[in-house]
Amino acid sequence: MNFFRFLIKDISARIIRTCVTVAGIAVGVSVCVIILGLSESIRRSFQNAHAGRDIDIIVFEKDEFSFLSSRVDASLVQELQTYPEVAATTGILMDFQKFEETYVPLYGWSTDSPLFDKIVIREGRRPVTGKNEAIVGDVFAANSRKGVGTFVPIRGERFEVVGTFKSEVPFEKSALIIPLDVFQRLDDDKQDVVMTINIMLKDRFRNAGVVRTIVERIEASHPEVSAQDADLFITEKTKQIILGEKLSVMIAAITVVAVILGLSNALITTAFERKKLMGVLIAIGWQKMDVFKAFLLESLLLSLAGGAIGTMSGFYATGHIFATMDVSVFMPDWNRLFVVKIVGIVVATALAAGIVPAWIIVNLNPVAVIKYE
Amino acid sequence: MNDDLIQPIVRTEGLSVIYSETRTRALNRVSLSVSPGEFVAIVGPSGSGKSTLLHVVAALIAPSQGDVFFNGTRLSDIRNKSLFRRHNIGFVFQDFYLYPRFTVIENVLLPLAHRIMVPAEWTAKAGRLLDYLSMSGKMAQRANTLSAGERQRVCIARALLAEPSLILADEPTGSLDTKNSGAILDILERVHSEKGVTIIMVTHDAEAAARAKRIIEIVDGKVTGVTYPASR
Repeated sequence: MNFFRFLIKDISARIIRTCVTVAGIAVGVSVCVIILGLSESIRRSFQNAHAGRDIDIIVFEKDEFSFLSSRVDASLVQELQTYPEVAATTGILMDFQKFEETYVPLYGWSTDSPLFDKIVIREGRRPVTGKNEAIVGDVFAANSRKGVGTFVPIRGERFEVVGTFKSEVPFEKSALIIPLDVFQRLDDDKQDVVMTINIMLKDRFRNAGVVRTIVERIEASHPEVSAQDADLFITEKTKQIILGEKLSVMIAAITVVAVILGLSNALITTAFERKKLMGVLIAIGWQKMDVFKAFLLESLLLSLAGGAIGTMSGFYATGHIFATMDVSVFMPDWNRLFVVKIVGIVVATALAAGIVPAWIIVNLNPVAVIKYE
Repeated sequence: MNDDLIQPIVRTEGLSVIYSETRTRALNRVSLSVSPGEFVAIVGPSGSGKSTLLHVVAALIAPSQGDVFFNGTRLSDIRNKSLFRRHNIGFVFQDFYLYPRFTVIENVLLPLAHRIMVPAEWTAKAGRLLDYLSMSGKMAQRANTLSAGERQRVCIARALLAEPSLILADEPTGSLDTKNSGAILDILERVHSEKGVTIIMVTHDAEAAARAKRIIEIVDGKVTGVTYPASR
């Protein structure tokens, strides 16, 4: 018999109530994981769209609200390449392609694009300019069972899958990439245009001052386009998403408060039920702090059990929700920080819920609860 | 030997307890002393203050007036009263207060269950105590499967675990039938005589009180009489 064995046995002595309490916590945590997971994954999907790509400046059509409908003259790609500070430029096209029951991202990259260096081709090779060839993200490949040598229909034409790739960018995991020139040919409104131009600067020019100068130069010489610092571009494009995420955090916070109140209520009930035994523990030599710790740890154990179940079911549910979305763009993004956040929520819930019953029980007069007269 | 030369294990001086919630005077200027190794019974009608006296001696409640001394130390001077109880006092309750789903040996080890690790020698000691109380065959049995008499034995084993110098027994036979009452009183007498433990027992039962060497009667919070059964 030791402290933890005591706690486990004491908790398991009320197995039905313990299960119901753990289930309540699990539901609350699961809701938090789903809400926060969805909003965070969506935000990170957007924010990571240019992460790790060394992109410094993004050029897009001026006054165009959605970058998806942005159209920039493709010849600008070569022109910007001549700037002395620029290491590389690449124009891209992006749209959605219906595949079976969902819409998947369809990218057009020039076959010599430096973006190819940022993905890992796991099988096969890059597509060749002018040919109906595609490479597919690993999630797309897994979900559609399309591998090298198979064919996919794009805009009514047959494309051969010549490679599969792995990407750190969530959008690209379920995407198809075809040669830029082929994409321009497929859609009438994309002839000789690109959606955005990504500019990578030479290392020695990669600072805010140079970025600002080049942005001004581009906008002065091409009034029909806007150029923006890549980080700023992402921030502006994700404003609405961040607002949505804040709303999600609020909903999650309300859920956490409800869980805290529910758990606290359950613990207070058990505290009153066990007050005689707690009084006896003090009479036989336990310190009030020992009883206090016992209650807090009981709360923590229940929360961790509920938290573990809730987190797992939340992860599963989030993945399921993303999988059933019509547009296969977002991926569940479980990073360490997110897990730390959830663990933090669980521990804070346990402490907040346990402190009131623990305080009540240690402030009971042991004599009042054990005397018979 | 002159009794005056032996330091009492428990001494009270003008002890009064007033419950503020009910404004009841539970004890009224009680002065008494108990010598080490004594077996004292405290009798009196319900509400006379018997249990209150036990609780004051155990430092579970502070007196409103007067002092309690344990081996010469004023209880109000002891900072850590839980530690004081843990090392010096064993409690035997009328209702046993065992954890029903814990095994017998786990219940005996309960005073140490706040520890992260309980050394093996304590488990062995608990085993020896249960053997001493003829409960060794039921160590792994859950408390809720025991008879009332057996539960009280476990309660006594729990009280003896820390080798206290004083056992406070609050109506130890109050929940038992005549046969089991006799057995438990036999055990208390044995513990008293073989281990030299001082016992202060609160009881309504005249037969139980008669097992003590001295009977203190309390009525309305005052000591109204002292008798010595052995000399009657």
